[in-house]
Amino acid sequence: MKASFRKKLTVGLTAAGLALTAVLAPILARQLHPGDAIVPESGHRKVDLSAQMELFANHTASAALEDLTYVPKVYRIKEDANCGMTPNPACYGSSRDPSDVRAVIDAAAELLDGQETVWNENMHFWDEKEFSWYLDETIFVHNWTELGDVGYYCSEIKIADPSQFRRMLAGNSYGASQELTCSEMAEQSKAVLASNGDFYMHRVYGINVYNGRLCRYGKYLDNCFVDKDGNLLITHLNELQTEEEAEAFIEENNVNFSLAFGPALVENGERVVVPYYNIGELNDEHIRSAIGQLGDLHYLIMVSTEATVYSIRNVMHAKGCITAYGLDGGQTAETYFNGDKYSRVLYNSERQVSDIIYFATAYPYKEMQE
Amino acid sequence: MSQIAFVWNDVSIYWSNLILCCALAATILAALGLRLLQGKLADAALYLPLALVFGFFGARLQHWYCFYRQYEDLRQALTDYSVGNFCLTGAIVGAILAALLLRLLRGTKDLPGLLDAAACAGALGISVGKLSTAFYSGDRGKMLFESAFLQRLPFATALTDPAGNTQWRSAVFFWESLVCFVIFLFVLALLLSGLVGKEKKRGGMAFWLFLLLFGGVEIIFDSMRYDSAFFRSNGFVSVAQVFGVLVIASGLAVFSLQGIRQDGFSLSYPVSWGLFLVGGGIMGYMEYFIQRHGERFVFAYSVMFLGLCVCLFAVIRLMQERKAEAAPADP
Repeated sequence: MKASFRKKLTVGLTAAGLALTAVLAPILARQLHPGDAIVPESGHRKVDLSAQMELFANHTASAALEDLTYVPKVYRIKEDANCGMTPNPACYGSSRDPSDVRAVIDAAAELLDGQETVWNENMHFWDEKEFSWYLDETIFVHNWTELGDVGYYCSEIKIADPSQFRRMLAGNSYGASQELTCSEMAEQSKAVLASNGDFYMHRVYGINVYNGRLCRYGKYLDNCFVDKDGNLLITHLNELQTEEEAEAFIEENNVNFSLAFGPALVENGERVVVPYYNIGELNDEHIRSAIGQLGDLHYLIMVSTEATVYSIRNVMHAKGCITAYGLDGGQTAETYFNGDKYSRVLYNSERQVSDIIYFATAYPYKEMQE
Repeated sequence: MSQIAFVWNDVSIYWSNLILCCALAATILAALGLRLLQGKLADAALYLPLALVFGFFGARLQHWYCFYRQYEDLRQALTDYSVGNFCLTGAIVGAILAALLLRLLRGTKDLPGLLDAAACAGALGISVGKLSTAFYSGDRGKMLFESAFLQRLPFATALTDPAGNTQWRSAVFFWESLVCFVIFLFVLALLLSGLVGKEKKRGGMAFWLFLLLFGGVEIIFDSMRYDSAFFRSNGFVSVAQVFGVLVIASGLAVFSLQGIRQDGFSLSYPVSWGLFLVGGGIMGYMEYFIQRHGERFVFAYSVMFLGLCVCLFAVIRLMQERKAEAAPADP
């Protein structure tokens, strides 16, 4: 009797288990999301129709009035694009001769729109790398190496439109599980020049804004916000006390994305006094990187050899940055240009990171060729 | 029909999910079959639904813990399955907890035997389930292969990046699938030899063998992949690697304690502990090395594999001494 009951129980439970599986399996098959799909997702931003109309009107006017007057065409990278336009290989150049750089700067006069470059012939150049540059109708990037208290890899960038200053997250969405090297992301985003960002996945502090949306709130770091006009805006640690304040700041300042590493190095053209900071070991000598704004859509990115935060702050200030902000350093610090690492990477081996910032061309060279 | 899903009218089913369901079915059938062979089907029938639920939520909880940025909050992670993903280590821990709970509730009198069957079935399930990753971009390696010869399975699979370029990324999911199938064969052989062989094997050994081998290889595979799940507090320490180390260390502790308690202390134990430390040290250093010299992955992973072999040898030699003993007679 007992054995027969046990047998029945066994059969019953087995049947129940299989039935549960039969019910669950189709539910699982329909409901589970397969993680990060191979097919690239489009961005999350709402498409700004008025901006697109404006662009269309500009191009039409430029073409219609071609014989009468010069209306410069405005080029812009689509708001929902995951990458920039393909750079024109013919626009790259390099030389050891400073006069060649001067010639390129002269050729970039229209793009520079009266702004002075940081670079000049009287700098104490470091013979580590050749001068190199990229110039087309929408972007001018040039790189050089310089000696100060330590060595510096410098990249000066002038863009025509704020949409060309971008941030890429590995996996193209906030919080994605992949980590990639700076060079992999630079290639994926068609960057003319790419630099490491804040490696946001590595820490839980600071504010993260991506595509205008607040993704993470934290008050223990200085933050660098990039607004939709391409300006760097700084908030200091504990300045935005609540998530609501952060939301309001993003809304008021039309923030596009943010960086959360720091500290703030230069503000309003003045050096920031940083007695203490939660990350980054200010006084230790590490490879450091920083971004600064020199003027309207005009930036400077620097990667140092082993230096303190104060060294790179002083250099960014001396170069005339209105605003400057520290990015992640050590093995993360890197600039990437024309298919190769421009700065020397620690251990000569790129780290897998979660994000980069990059500057892309908006000139549709490839499309025009086609 | 599409690259990633089966589409029929308004119904679309991801291929990856279909393979996951096959993996689930394979696991359940294998577990039931093995328990049937062991003559204890009842507890398996009780255990499987429990393990399914615990494993499912364990996998989800770990994913939420490691990738919380992908979710609004924990509630969304546990209720909305259209976002996020799952972590295998969490599923395994969940399944083990389910077995322990069943024992606590007196749902089984033979926990070691149940775990043996579950481990064997689990290895098969992981082997099949890992193939589901072929249809999305997860579980790929950091290494990119540029040689045309290597641009195929089993070496690499193609991924298309946002710029439209094709990347040939190392197919870690495929390697894991193959290795798990080999682990399944090992565990099955051990289990069947205990069931049909002359010598009665000690219960739980197949489970331990699975844990040691799987935990061990995960230390290497997790170092290779570009989407490792890290601890929240530290973006460089991988949960799967810590799980692997803990499993091997636990095995060493358990078999050492059992042995010393039964046979007394001998020189064999410090030798095993020393080997474990040496192997662990080699693996730890190679992890440090690979994070700094990623391009030397062939050298680093070869040495790491040697370190793993030393570690596993240290534990399995102690386990071998225990498994020869006769198991207590069944009631």
